[in-house]
Amino acid sequence: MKVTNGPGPELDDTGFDDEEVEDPARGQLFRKIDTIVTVKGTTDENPVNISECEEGALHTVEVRNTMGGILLYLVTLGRKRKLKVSYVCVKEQN
Amino acid sequence: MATTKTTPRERWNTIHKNGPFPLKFFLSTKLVKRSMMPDPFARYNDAAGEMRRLLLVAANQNHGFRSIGARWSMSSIAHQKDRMHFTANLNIKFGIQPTDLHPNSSYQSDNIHFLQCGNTIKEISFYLERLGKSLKTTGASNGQTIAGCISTGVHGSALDVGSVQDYVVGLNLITGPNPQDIVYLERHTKPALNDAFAAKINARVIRNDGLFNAALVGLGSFGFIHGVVIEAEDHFLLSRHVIKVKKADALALADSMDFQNSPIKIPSEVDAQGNPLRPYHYKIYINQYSNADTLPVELMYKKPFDPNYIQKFGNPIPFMKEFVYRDLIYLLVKISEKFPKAIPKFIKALSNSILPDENKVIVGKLSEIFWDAGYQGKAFACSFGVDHTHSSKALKVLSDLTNNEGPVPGIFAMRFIPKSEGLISFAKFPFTCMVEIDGIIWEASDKLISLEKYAQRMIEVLQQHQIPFTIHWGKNADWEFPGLAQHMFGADAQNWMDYRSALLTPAMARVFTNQFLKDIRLDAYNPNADPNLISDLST
Repeated sequence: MKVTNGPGPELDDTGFDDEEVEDPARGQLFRKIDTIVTVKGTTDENPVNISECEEGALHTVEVRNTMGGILLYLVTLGRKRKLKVSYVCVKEQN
Repeated sequence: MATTKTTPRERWNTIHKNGPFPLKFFLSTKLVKRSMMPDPFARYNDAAGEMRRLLLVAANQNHGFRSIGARWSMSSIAHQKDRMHFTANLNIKFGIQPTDLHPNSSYQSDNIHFLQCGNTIKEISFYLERLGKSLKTTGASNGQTIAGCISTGVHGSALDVGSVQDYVVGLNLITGPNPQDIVYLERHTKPALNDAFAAKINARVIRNDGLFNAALVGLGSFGFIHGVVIEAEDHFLLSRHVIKVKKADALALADSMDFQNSPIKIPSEVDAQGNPLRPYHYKIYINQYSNADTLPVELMYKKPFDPNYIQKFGNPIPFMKEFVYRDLIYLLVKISEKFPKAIPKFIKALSNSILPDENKVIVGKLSEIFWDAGYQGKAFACSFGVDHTHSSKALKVLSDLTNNEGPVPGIFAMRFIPKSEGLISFAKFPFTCMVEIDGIIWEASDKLISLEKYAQRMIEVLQQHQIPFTIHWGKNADWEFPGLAQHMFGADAQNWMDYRSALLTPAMARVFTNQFLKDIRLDAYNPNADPNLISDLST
């Protein structure tokens, strides 16, 4: 699921790409978080902090569920979660 | 200090994958942080210093240098094989104060804004809207940088506004590595800012209509465009209607531009006598593979801004954007390469996705109507400018070519713009109709004409039918067609080269030349160019 903040100008990509890469996110600088987080049994919400956006705002967030992530969640009874997030920052304004 | 990252590369591509093109070095400059240098003029001038350094390095290495924006152009106009420079992070912008205006300026200061080159249309709209202002027009999408827009002639179909460059009132160019190579250009007959402002950006002033109009559509070759001064206007709304009309009526209106007496009418957009009002925007969509006697036209009418427009008319931006599966599109193109006769069927099948929705009236700001582009994959576009009185004739000639020697995976559209003062703007006719075909890049086969051949044939058939034309600088074309620039612009082609030769030193002219400029034979340097061409004609 991808959610976009419409009006905020998005951070452009680096202006460069490799010809072989067919990237659906062309024109936008997507940063990725791909990790496994451990959640304590005593806590409820587990917000993830994205601190790299210099303008302090997100333009697009995409969260992907994978079969492996679902299995990990089930096997660990929710304690370990696969976090696969791509995001685009709002472009820093000058 | 502004900093530049220089990375060795092997190739570069446009956002629509029209390359790849060879490349030695890719450069990307970032401004110094606001926290380190809060004054925007200081940061702007600091960036100018960095640009002069980069030009010196390029000149010393005997390398070409080209700054790029958002890679939107489909032609190779943005490409330079030696050094390409990414500008999107150079996005300072600020409003002009009344004390900055030239004493003879007829502009309102709150409409005049100074934009560094890397500001995208979307960013500029976002910035202006917070001041209760709007751009006068944009292209069909919003991702291009302002410098890229004016260098290539980006336009919409705003009948009484023109192209993006037509609301530019000043240009800050850097033509070389020396301090005196920072110049601020304006028209001498329509000055905007005073010399004191130019001093704030360390620029020497040249007010000269001819030079300004030559540099305005400079194809990225008139020096580095560092800053652009634009005239905005009070924000407004557009009411967008898409209706199916008789093809004959749509084309008759294209040829006449006589909206008042046209049978094409939106019931709510008429005058007291019931005659159609002149719209802000008129666009015709033509599926050249269809024999239907009706087609969709898009009309937009300008309305005063209403802060409650979303409550009244709904959100003009859809809650969820729908994209046709990219892989599906590519599969269709692959099939078409083997079975070209399938192309018209595919276009018909996709018509709900590629043609506008007729059933909904949309009301929104300019930036919302011309919103984020959907498809950003492998695309081509060929776009010819003709006098609007030749609209239907040009469309017939190009459609017949596409049917007889194609098919190709694209459909036609027609947009309309008034004459631009840019010396080599493709909007050169009193009223220009841009006849364009947009579609998906394909591979030629023994059954399917190549894009290169198709582009060549488009020029040939227009010449055979004696239809004067220009070509959109940012789109696909047979740019090496013999005598093309002279055919399109006559003596103005040489005049443009003379202005360029007068402004740039021979060494810097080489730095700012790329293969595209050579292909269209606009790279010739005239060492005897009249120095009066760049005289300051300020009064």
